[in-house]
Amino acid sequence: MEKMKLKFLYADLQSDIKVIERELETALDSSSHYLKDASLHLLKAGGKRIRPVFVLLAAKFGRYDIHQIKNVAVALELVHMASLVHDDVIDDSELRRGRPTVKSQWNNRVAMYTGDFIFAKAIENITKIENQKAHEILSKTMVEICIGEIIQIEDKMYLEQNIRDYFRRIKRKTALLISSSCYLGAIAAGVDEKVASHLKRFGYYVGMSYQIIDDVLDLTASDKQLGKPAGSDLMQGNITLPVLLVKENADMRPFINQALNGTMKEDERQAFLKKIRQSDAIEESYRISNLYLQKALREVEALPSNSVKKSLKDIAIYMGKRKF
Amino acid sequence: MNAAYIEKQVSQLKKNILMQLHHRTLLQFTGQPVVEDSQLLYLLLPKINGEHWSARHEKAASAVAMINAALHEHEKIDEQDATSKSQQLTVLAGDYYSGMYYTTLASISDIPLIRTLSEAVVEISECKTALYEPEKRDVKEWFEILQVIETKTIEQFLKRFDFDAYIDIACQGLVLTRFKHELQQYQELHQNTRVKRVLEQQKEYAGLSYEQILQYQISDLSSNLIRSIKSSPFLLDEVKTIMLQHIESDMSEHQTMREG
Repeated sequence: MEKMKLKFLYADLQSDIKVIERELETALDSSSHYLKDASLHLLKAGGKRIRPVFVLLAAKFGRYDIHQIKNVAVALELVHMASLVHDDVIDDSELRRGRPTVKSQWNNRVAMYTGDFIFAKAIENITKIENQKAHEILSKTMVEICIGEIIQIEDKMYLEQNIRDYFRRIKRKTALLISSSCYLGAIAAGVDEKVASHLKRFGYYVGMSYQIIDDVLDLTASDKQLGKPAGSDLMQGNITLPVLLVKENADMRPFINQALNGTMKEDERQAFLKKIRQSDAIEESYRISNLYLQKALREVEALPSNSVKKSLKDIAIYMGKRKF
Repeated sequence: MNAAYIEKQVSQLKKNILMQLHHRTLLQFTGQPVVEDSQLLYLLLPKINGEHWSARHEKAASAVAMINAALHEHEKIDEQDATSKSQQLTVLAGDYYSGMYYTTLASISDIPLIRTLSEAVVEISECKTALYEPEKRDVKEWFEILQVIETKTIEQFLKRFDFDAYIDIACQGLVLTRFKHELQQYQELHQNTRVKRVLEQQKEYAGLSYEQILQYQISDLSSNLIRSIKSSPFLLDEVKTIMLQHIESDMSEHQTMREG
């Protein structure tokens, strides 16, 4: 349903998105049945294709040629997909988008090869763009995302971290790839640097807003909506913004400690969720997410008049306001 | 030129690569990235043999070693359980080194090499996955698969810079090194690896132990490599001598071990 809403927002791009879907399928073709099955399995599970959409929309501010720009869009989606395959090994996840993960269907090693294969296909695709800057941006983004994930593992269970640590982490975890999607779309379409920088910042702010909402939803959505127990982030040791905002609260601290040391029982999880949902932390997190959203919208305002400005705005608002 | 000169070239390149890949947390939990001397030797062979060699060649060679280090990290992931902190960081170490290879080549704008190395990683991933697939393959096909896994990235580097003449020797040398390593690991740890299971199933090797299969391959590959080096018109005599001395001393060591 939510995905339908999002698709409606970029209805004008539907034919180009279909091109991207076909390219993704072609890119993941392989002589190895296992790799092909594993990659297509993930591809068919869907996804919002947010990154390709941002690549296409940003490119609309320059010389838009779908036959060129598709290579960037496909690369960005593949980088995202590959990192999901490896993340499922790190998180020991059995399900992704309601389907068994590659690691659970085959094993960790096959998941590593699948991720490496998809990463390599991503890079292979973007080499069709002969632009050094584009490669510098994508390669640095890949390194930074990795550093973000390393920090996330370092920060796990560490309750003394502060909100700045959290922002630094989600910047790398989510915002950078969305920011780079916008920036690369612009660069590949020859958009001038000033406009490209607005698009880059737009992507960054949208990404920050989006991740904060994602972290809130982990606590406020139902187990059914999430496809996993609500509060999983905390139980896996990931300290998110709402938790950081309530961690000094004497009523909440015992629950947080239980979740972190793995002793939380089901009734305690329910009680914790009830308490945190009633706390100011959720409201405050939404407020902070909205601040990023407003910054994103200001960046859109600074862009030259163009028919896609409205789409950028609508998608940003959708991402920053989504209920699930 | 002597063996010490070659060792110095290899160790200098290795030092530079390790410096670029340095990451405090990864070092603490996953150890140093694996940058194999044998791979560096074959990457540097054109330079050692007096071919034109620039800073661009050096960076590209470093990038190849980085992607190999990345792939090597992912070989350390346990098939069933990767939940420990060090295993989780090993997954990320591979991704990080892979990103560093791409960053290195992007900095010199070598887009053709980025492309061919990506193609190599695709092929290597396919070959590694083949070890898990149920399809029956004969010995020749398995050796082709193992050769791709061990040599493809270095082969692409040599092709990119028109050092094609070195490819044959590099491929033979790298596969030989892998078998020696496999034998050493097997003798020390007696691990039941995928390669072991695959090779033991071949009818050509019926009645032979895994150790015997490896020893047979090592002798065969060593003899072939010696022949290739001796008959290479492009290798300087002094380079030939050093390489042959190295292989022959390894062979006699290997022979002593077999007899012992």
